[in-house]
Amino acid sequence: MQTNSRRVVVTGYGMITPIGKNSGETFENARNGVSGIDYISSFETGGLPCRIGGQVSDSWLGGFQSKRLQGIEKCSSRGLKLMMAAASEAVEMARLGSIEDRGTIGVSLGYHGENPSVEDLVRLYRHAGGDHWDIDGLTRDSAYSFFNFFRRKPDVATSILQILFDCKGPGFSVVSACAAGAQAIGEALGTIRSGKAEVVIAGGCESNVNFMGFVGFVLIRALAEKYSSPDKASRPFDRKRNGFVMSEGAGALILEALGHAEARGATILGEVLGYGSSADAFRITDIHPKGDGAFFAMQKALADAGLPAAAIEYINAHGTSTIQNDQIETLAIKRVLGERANLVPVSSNKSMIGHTIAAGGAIEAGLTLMGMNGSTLLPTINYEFPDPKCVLDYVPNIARSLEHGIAISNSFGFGGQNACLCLGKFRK
Amino acid sequence: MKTAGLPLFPVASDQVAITGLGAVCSLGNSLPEIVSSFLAGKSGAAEITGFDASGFGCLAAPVKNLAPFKTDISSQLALTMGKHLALLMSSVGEALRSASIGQGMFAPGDCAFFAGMGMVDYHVEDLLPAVVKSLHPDAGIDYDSFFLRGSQEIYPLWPLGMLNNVAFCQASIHFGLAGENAVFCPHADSGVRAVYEAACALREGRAKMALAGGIGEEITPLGLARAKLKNLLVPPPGNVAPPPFLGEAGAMLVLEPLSTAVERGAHIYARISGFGFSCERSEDGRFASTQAISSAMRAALSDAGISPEDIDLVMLATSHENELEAVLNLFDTGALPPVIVAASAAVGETLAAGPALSCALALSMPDRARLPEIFLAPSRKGASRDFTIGRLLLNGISCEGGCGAMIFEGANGP
Repeated sequence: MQTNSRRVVVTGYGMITPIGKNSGETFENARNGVSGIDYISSFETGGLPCRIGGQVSDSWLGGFQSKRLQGIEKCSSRGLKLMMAAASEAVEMARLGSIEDRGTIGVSLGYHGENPSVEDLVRLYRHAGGDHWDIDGLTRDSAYSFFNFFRRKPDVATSILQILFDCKGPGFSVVSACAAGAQAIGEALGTIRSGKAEVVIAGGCESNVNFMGFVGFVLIRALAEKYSSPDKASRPFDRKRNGFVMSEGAGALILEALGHAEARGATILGEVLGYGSSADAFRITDIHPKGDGAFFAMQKALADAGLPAAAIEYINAHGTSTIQNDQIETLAIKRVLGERANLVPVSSNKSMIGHTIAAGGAIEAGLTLMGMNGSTLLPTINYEFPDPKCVLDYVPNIARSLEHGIAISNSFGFGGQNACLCLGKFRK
Repeated sequence: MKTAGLPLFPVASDQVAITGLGAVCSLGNSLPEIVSSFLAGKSGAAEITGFDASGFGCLAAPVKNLAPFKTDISSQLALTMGKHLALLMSSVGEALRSASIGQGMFAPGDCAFFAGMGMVDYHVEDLLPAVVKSLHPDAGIDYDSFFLRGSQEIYPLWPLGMLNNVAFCQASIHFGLAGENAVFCPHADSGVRAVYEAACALREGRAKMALAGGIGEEITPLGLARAKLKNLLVPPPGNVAPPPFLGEAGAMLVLEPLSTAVERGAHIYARISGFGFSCERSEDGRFASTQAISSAMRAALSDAGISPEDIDLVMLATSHENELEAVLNLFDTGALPPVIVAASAAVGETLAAGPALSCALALSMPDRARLPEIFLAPSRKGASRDFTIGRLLLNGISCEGGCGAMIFEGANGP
């Protein structure tokens, strides 16, 4: 079994979020502190304790123009369509079309598949009520698409991305809840380092702003229920935070072996220096009270990068705006940084974008790289009332100019899976 | 061809050994049971009894009578996680016991955990009361009723159980596995990926012990519908064998650096030699292409630094014709060909569990075992022979085109 450590750089990025149809627009709006959170229009929210979310405009989503791809469209979930938009931007930026050996290009995607609709549950009820399953009847029902079965499968999205972008290298689907996007990038890093691929399209996507995706989080009381206006609801690290805001989106990075990128004259936009993952192994519904899992993930990412904690110049926090997460993430960051904790800026993109679940880690990694290249720290908006238990420099409300070259980006998942990426400005 | 024996290979710091095996499937709830039934030529296929499956027209191989296990979660939450949790707990427990790894032997942060997890399907009955309570007189849905009254019928932690990683997280809590981790999904290639990631974590010093493997799918109407619509349950053309069927299973391997495993006197089942991956769908979009399957196997051979004639045993991932064609093309080199085993004929299509299950099965077989002809690949029927595993190649293939292959250099089973 051969492994060799190689430097892995970023040669393209793309994203689609409630505040932008591409990375440039998203970054610009985030720099200006624009919130993408509004009342939900995609379904009727009457009677719900939370009626807000981050939605991507349908007009930003491309279709399947080519006749060859129209069959694929039937299997495509909204999450995949978001990912296609993000990946197309990244692939174009990296000029992946010029690579001849397509077997060296892989795809690593964090995604959980599409939720069933309530209408489809009714149809299932009609054909599968009681103990009898009339599968032929169900698929004959013109209102029920058997493609529903495949839209729910995460690896269908991965496979379609491989077809769309003609990637014949390794392909894998990561399903670790809110850590999935960052884990997908971390796994892609390992794949390139070990020589199993030269290039990987890595990232995550999610679309949970629908009935069944939403009601689940309503039931576990994880969403923000108290807000004066939608744009004020996501307020990470603020004392009046009371839950996260569900959102949708996708983010993609093109990871590439440095030698490969240089040989083809690709523009290098940054470097993935390290990756760490851990499990809280504590309780299924609670974070470890001392932040052990988050702490270990950050430590491992730094160790993987061969850097001391003193090298960190910025932290893109998981920062969900839930009481528990933000307090414990703060604690874990303080454990990692020690006396420097108050000197290192920390901010949460979720204050503007909301929580895009599997997409979060990928979108935030992309914004972190853009911030480094533009010497800009994106703000944490809605930071109005300091919480005595959250006492770091959260870059409150207004973006800040600061040259910085090394950052970490945190992603922590339901159930206790944690991931941390160490990212750097590219230096020869 | 090499024959097995200890030590088969030089001890190097970057080599990874398999020191523990655990599995559960329709043939038994422990590896000794599974091996015994497999060598006796038994199949786990049976009529589906949990629900009326007459519309599907197929058999399935469920796991039965799993021993109860203790967790710190409510029984309702455990139920929500479905059989995934039971399969995972059972196979992880057996793997750790077989590796003689007890509590406290490794620090939790040094224990990595990687798994391929099959699809988690919602049970329609978990949601139907909410739907029924919200039906409008015109048979549509009254959404106001759904949220005000209907949704109260749904168990609050139901959404957690729908995440593929939640049973995995519960197992990590129960066994204290707090190190590097990832969950891949949902087919056999994800099972190979899990073993690959575990091997990398050990080689790079990011963990001192790792569990890796996979859990397949529970036999549910939705799972069967998905398999049927993907033509997974249709026999290959011209095949006289019974049609394929889905099988429930879980399987886990314990991996350790070879040097430290030898140092602590652990039983070494095998050394990991190589991995290969590729992805391409076949023309009809229903399976991986022959070329992609071949490409993954060639990459694994290259990674291991060996040739096709060095392989003694090939464990097929599926009963699909594309895989068999790729294997026959690659391994029919004129030399003594490897034994080709289709374990799926006995245990069914076990998806993410398949690679680790095949590995555990192969490495647990007694020396000079005689394999039942019915489990040999079609072209190998009549060619059954006593054999000892030297080098073993295992495939993990997804009907969506993902392909993984891994190679082990085996010592004799226990």
